[in-house]
Amino acid sequence: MKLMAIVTRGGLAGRRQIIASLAVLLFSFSMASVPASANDGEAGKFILSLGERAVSALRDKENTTFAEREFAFRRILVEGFHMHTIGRFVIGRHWRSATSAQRRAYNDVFVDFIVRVYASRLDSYNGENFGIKEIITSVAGGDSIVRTQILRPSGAAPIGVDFRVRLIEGSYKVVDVTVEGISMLHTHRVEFASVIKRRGMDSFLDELRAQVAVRGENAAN
Amino acid sequence: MTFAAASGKLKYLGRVLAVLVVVGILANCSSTPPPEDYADENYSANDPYEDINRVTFAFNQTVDGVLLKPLAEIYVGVVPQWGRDRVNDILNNLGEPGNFANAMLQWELERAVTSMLRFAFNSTIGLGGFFDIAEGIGLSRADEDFGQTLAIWGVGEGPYLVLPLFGPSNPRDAVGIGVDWLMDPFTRALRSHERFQRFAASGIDQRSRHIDDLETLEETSIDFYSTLRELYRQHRSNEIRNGELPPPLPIPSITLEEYSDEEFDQVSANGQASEE
Repeated sequence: MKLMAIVTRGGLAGRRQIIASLAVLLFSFSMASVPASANDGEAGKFILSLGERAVSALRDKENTTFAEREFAFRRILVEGFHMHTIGRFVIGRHWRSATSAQRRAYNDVFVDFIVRVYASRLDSYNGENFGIKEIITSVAGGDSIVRTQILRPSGAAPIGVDFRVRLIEGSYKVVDVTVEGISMLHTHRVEFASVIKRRGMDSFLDELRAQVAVRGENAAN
Repeated sequence: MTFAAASGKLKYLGRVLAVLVVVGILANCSSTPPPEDYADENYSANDPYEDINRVTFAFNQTVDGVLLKPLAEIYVGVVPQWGRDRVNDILNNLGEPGNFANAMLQWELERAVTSMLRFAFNSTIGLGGFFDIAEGIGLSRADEDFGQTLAIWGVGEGPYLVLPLFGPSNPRDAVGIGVDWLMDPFTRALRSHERFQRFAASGIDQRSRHIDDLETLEETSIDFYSTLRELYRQHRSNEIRNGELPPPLPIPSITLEEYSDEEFDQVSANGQASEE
């Protein structure tokens, strides 16, 4: 019994923050709280406008269906994120052992999968405030890291979301999102690797397609 | 101080020392690659007991489904948000001495002072922790535990472990849980049924805040086990860094024009992301 008293502080408390962070994720912002001291860099402006679009797309729950919100979210994602870089990074070395048919199948389903997953995870959040904390130009690869904070109602601690922004062919693209220190790219990469290792590439691709199909049925509601 | 009290103190010290010895042994046999090493995702996941862990994970999921989650749902249904916030504030306040002690052990003086002031304000003006008034005056909670302290002292996390009921962990954090329990003054102050009440309350409190989140996360994961494993590991290393930026992922650069496999692999191989 004595040991049990601590269970929740170690195990569940750890999970609690993780889950909260992950659930709020990318885009539940409104622009109300950009601090005056915010670094006015180009990368920061890019993230702000991306956030603005995401808010207007995801906030209006009463007059839109999930399918409509998801469609708007897809456009933002495809325009603001460099999905080729992301897709290739998260599949890691398994790309090389994949057949060309498997590679095509992966390219076909990856964006749909990401859109479905994150549109679903973000859909329960609406209109939380979002402000830029600082913009850091990282040494590694010359990417900018835009550190933002999502403020939450009822005094809960704000959630830190970092966008890694890369200048690709003259325009800014997001290449990774880190929520409370948890990298989406890293997390998906390990998840994908785990499924491929346990069940093989074809089953993995089936899983991705199944996820898209299941969420598609839900989207009709 | 009576002789009995003194010998009680000595026994207590002895137990702490015993734990530290265990920690030392674990530290030697469980040093791990740094988290920024992406050479091989299995290496990075460091989960040699995956098969056993998955069984324990399934057991925990079952317990959650039949016991913890239903209780949390009842709690949310019966107690309004205001009441649940007060319960959370009280439980957090009981954790402040532990935050303080670990911040001191890590020589994080600012965070130690923050935890001390939070405990002082909230226990008095905050009516025994009922209200978190310290947050309102800019003293945000600085969670520290002995698992983090060990990490600061250079102990590696060791292999991933799923503990029955406790959930995601590793040898370092499991030892940390034990030491935190020994250090916590409330462990000694509370009677055993009160300790159980505290345990039950915090379990239901934490679970009640994430009923929908966890459901969505499970539905949208193609492998929930490995998703939680990865979330746990990255979350812990973020806590250890106190939210500072992690070392950047080695994400190779590709553009549409050069989107050919060979070039991408080339960039990959030259960078830190070398995967062979």
